[in-house]
Amino acid sequence: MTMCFETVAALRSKLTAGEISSVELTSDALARIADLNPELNAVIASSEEQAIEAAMRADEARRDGNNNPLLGIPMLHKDIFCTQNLPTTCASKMLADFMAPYDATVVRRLDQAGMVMLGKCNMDEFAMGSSNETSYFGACKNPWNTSRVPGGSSGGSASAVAAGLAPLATGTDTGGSIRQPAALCGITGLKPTYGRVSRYGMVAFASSMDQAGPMARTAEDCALVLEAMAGGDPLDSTCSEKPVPNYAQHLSDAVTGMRVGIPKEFFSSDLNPEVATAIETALKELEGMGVKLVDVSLPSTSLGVSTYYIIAPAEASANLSRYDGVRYGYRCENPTDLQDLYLRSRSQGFGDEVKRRILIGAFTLSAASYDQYFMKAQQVRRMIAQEYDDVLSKVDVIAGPSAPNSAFLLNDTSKSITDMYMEDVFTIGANLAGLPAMSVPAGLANDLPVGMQLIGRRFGEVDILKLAHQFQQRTTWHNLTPPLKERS
Amino acid sequence: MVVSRFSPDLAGSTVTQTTTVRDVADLARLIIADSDVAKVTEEFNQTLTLFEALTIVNTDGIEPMVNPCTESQPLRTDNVETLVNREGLMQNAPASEQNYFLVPRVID
Amino acid sequence: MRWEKVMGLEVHLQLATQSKIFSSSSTTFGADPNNHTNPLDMALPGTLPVLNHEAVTKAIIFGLGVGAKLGKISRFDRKNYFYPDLPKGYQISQFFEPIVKEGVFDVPMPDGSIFPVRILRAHLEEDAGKSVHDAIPNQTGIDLNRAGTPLLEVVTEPDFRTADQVVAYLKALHALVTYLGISDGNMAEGSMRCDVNLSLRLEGEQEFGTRTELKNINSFRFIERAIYVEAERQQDLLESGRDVTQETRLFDPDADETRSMRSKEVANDYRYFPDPDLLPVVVDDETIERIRAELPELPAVKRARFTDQLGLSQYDASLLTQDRATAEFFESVAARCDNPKSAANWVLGDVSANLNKSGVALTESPLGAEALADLIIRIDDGTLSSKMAKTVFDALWEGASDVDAIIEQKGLKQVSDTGALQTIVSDLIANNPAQVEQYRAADDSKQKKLIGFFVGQAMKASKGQANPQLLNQLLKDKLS
Repeated sequence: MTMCFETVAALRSKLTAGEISSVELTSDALARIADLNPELNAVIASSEEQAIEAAMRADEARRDGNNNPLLGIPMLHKDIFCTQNLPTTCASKMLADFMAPYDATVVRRLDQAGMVMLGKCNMDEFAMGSSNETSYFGACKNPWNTSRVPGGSSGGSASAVAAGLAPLATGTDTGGSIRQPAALCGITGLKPTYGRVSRYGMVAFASSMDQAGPMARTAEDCALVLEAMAGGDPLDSTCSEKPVPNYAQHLSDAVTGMRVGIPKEFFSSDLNPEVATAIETALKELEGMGVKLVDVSLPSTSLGVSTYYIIAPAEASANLSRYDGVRYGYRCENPTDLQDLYLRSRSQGFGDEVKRRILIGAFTLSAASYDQYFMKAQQVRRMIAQEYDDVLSKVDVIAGPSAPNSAFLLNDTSKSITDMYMEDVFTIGANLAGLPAMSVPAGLANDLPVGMQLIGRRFGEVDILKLAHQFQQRTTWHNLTPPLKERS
Repeated sequence: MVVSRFSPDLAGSTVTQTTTVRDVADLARLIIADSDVAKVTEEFNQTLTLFEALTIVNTDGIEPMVNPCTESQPLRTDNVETLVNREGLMQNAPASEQNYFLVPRVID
Repeated sequence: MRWEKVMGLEVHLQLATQSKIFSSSSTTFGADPNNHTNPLDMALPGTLPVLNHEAVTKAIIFGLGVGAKLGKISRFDRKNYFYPDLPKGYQISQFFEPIVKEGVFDVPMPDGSIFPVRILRAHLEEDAGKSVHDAIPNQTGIDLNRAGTPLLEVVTEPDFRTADQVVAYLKALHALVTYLGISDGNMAEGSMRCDVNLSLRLEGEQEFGTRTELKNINSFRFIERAIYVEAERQQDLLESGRDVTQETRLFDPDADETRSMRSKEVANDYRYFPDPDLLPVVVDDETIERIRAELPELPAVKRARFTDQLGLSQYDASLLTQDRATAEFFESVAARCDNPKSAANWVLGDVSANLNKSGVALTESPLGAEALADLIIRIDDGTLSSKMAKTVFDALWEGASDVDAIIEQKGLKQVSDTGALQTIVSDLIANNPAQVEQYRAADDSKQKKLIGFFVGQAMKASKGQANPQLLNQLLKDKLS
């Protein structure tokens, strides 16, 4: 299985050179999934037949002269993207059998680019969680240590790429759900600027923060995939029509002289000391690249989690009202009347964390609470966004840790609900402000991966990608692979 | 300009301060079993404690942020287009007949 | 105790766009269940709203039509509640910042006075689907064809005190929206739906009482009745010391009473919040002026022109301006024949009667404005007597189109030739000496009756074509 940890870019060369075929790559990937997934539970569903067919079409297209960089490369979609060929479950009982009659825009674009979908990845239910433990289909394991979580909510995607099941998986990030699992699994993940990628067909959690992004082994791969994913969509009012840069071409642009801000609040007592050490080393590496490190301050960092956990559940409480057992999704048996239909379908169909967030959300939106909680949170959100803008007017990029801890244990009952929410403390700001942010492998803490976070200005993906790419040219963290026990 | 909220639908009714978790669950059409009420209330309150940090922040004159976009709403041309046919749209219906979705009879 | 009714109206107008407000599904009425839907109308996971340009334009047109302040930046909000015809579990509406703000709408009352109604706001929102209760036993069927149709909700201040005012307002609103071409404004078909908020207070009191909301009453007659019945009900409650409960009620015309809507009884906190899937709707001055320049003449302006310049009565002007088709038809006729009063009489009289009888709309009238004008011209120039004019009119209604040709064919030309008439009159007098004497001997009042004999004979002699005025004059002269 020497191909399984190759990058998209490397596979492209091999495919173009005729060294391998897409069908071979795809069969290998499917075999690896069959081998490792029973342990990892990263993939919820896969479609061998359709994947091989797509691979065959890709090989044919290549023979006909198509040389799209993503052509024929196998990949996985987080099970939050609507796909016509496989169920879209959002890892929930509510949608366990749901067959979307249309493809998400992201799915359509990557399909048009010639990528081969292997299957759908596990996740926290309806993207609510930071450990992939709220999934209806069971927890997903971190390939680095299978008694630990892969992070969440895009845990399945991160685990799959880390374990070499596919070189690329799509994820979504509302409060850190691409970056935190990427950090915990030692891979590279990018959350684009809010509005860079279409949300059409991506099941909504928190509409004002959700963004789709690539999770892969390198920044270069992320750049290639983002180019294909990004761009305006007449079906999404919040998707920007701004032209999409050729991200891959800018990866080697000069970084010398770039100013990188290090917020002191990101090195608070919330941050695990071993993680802190790894990050500090990584930052020195950036300095070695000719980058100027600048001390900055984001004083509202401590308010981020509260702000997020008012706004996101509130938006989610409305977004999840459509799951009522009427037109699709789980319906309880023998409903006696309309209210019974609603109450039992929803109570039986949703897991506990989802219900918790719906309750909090409905509460903060209710008449007596709106001004004090929801409106207040939206005001603080603007404050936080303004703070980031102010700092990013003085520096080009903000850097720090992606997550306060490395991968924690599964079923850690010592972690309270709010402890879990604090996992997002460093990632949340970029979601509230709508900024692009990525996590790159930057070291190890207790033999577990650590991710460095880079946050850019709105539509400033070029800056963070080139910094990440050139960091990866000088370091080898992203090349590490987990010590997996293969069965064959 | 800060938009402050009014609620003409509740004009004339008294709004109580003690909203219970059950009240909220009703609004959201969720059941909380009697045996769970205490636990759910506790978790609820824990999360509310998290929010207390916001109450002391001075936000006078700050416009609430709805989403990070700075553009205005794009407008769609008034053309008819069917993206998915009825069969596809209703393929997941738990109960349907004669092309209607069915729910237990509602009496107005 | 004298009680005063205090009422405010919320009228939902279906805007006449081709596609829905947030999806590109057709808005055409009458399709098979769920045949005019798209993933968004079904609230499938991952779907998103995109605003229809035409809905915004029509809202602005309405705002300009009532002289309202426009919300140059308006937003959409989510109104959250559960009902099977509301697929997302929330309705996208404009709660905090509507596209049309305060205005005043002058309503012409039947007695000719003007009743100004303060418009509080008008906002865009999406319609819900339909629940069908009798298609399948024990089940309610949900049809989402209507879900997502653009609505403009027009909200007034509680300025209404009588049912007459309410009905006059609705008629004027119908006229306005049909003029502006933004809605069919048809209550029976559901493109105009009226909810009445009604409360009572003692005359002289300043504070408002508790109000109930009367929903979905689909005719003027039912509205009048519902208001009466509900006011009575509230009066009974209040006079016996009980309270009026704030709630939504339906009017049951068969039982002649209002009833609480059970399905909406569950206390509702709509939890309004700004919809994060939609961005602020910005309307600039240039757009507003462009739309303003293209507005048709408004009914109020037309009415004023009809009374001031054309000399019509308030009553006639009101009737003629009730819808655009009638007004424009009348104007064509009046302009061509230069006799507005006559044109008004014909349009409001025979044309209207014939249209009602044959159940045909004015736009399908077999009688064109040109032809009617020509008819009036021929009456005015003496060619036709009014009796003969009716014959021509009937012929035109049957399908003929050339007034002069009909007159020619049927030999209907009025005999106004004084010489010919004098001959007829002289002959008559000569041949009927007894009647002549009887006439000359009679007093004034009896003469009025006796002249009828001579008129009748003269008409017979002239085959009905004698000019009646001239004939009368000649007879009077010769007989006295």
